[in-house]
Amino acid sequence: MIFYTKNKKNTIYLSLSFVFVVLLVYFLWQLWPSIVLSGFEWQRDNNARLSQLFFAIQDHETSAYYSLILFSFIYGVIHAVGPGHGKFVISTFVATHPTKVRHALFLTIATGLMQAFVAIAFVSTLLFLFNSSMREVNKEVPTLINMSFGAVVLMGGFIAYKAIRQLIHIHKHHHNDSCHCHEHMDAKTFNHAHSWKTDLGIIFSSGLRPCSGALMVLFFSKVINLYWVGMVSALLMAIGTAITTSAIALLTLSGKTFMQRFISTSDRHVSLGGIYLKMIGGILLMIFGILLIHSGIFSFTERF
Amino acid sequence: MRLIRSLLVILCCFFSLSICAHPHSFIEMKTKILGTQTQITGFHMQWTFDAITTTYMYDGLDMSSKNKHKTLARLTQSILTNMKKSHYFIYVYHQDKLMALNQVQSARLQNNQNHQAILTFDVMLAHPLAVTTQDMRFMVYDPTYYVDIFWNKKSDVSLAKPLMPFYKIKLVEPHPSLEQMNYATSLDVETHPDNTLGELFTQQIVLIAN
Repeated sequence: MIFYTKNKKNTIYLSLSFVFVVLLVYFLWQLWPSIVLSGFEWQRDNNARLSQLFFAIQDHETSAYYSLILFSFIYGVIHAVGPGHGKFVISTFVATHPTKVRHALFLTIATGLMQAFVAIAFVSTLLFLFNSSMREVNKEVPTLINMSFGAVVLMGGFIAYKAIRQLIHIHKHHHNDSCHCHEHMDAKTFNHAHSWKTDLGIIFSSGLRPCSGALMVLFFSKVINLYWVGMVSALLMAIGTAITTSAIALLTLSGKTFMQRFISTSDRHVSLGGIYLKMIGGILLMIFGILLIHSGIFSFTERF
Repeated sequence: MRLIRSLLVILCCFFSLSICAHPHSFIEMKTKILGTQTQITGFHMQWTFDAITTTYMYDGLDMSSKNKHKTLARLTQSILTNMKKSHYFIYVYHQDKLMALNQVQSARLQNNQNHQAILTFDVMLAHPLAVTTQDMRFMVYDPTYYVDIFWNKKSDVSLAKPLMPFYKIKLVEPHPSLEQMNYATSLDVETHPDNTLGELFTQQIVLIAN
């Protein structure tokens, strides 16, 4: 009801690309079990490799430093394909808000760095300030993760609320003929203004959840008295993850531009459609956050 | 309606991803199936923990050469107590019925040069099975899949000499179907967090009668 396609040809292109995406998703879906299984195997190998490198550093093997640098970076790139790292939050934001490439990159890089700093600050505070044992630190992790999910819900609520307020505003003016231009202006300014509050919210809510890879190296490096090596490794991982999340955000962005090319909208519809889209984005984030809080995926049960 | 369905599928995708967060610990097994000329009696297990898990287990413990022996004995006991709550992670089925196990015997914890802890123990079936038994299979897994317990290759599972004339060993790799994975991941959300994951991703040993 909001979008109109320009002509018949575009409609065909659009349907074709839609069919392509659906087929791609279906194909991935069928392969899913084997993808997950090889993911586990990958994790198993990396776990062993990482500990070997740390023990080699402990034995003063210089080459192990370089290997660890490379390993941490690549680990970050690949690990970010897994859950977390703000992929969903940032992609949803990019898909539903008018975003420039630079802005999207700023969000992904800032989120990646924040995740590393949160992990380092969190582990350091508990270990050195409160003298907690590793088991105690491990128990606190789910709290932090749930806080992050909670922040995502709040964030979604904030975006949806802003959009709804804007809609009500436009609606009011629409019934008041004397002020037709004002309405138009308002919606446009709303669509293009970069809200630093929203940016902070995005970075904060998805950055609050520390990367499990970073936590793993920090814990492990502390136990074998190489904490500073662990911190460097965690930072390198963050740079790696930022590369992956940036790629995903940019893919989302180009997918959106591609869609927009085939959808023409009148001026008024651009503004209104943009606000609806933001509202949908906000609601999606809320649903996502609520579902994750209830999932209890991250119950770190003690097995041994 | 169709739109909602495809949206749900995409959301599910994100959830299946979340199980990638597991596992956190890895145990590589070697197993010997024990028995006599008339009965299958139990298992001898050798479990090698990954170095990171080992380091966590030892963290804060007194590992000085004087007390190491005592510390390891105590740790062994605490590990076994925890494992007992989960059926020692060992699930033996005869004609699709879960078989009871006796208390673990002669458990011992050692280290290798790769900073890994090795737990060896024997566990016996509460009711030994006759060697004429068909339909015997077993799995070793942590139901929550927090720990991945696995055999690296088929030859890591062996038969005690007296059993060799009677059986061949078949190692079945996990092949979770899409439906099973979706079922497991959707089930977890409300009721039991993750309790079906381990079984889904575990290998299985089947005894094939000669």
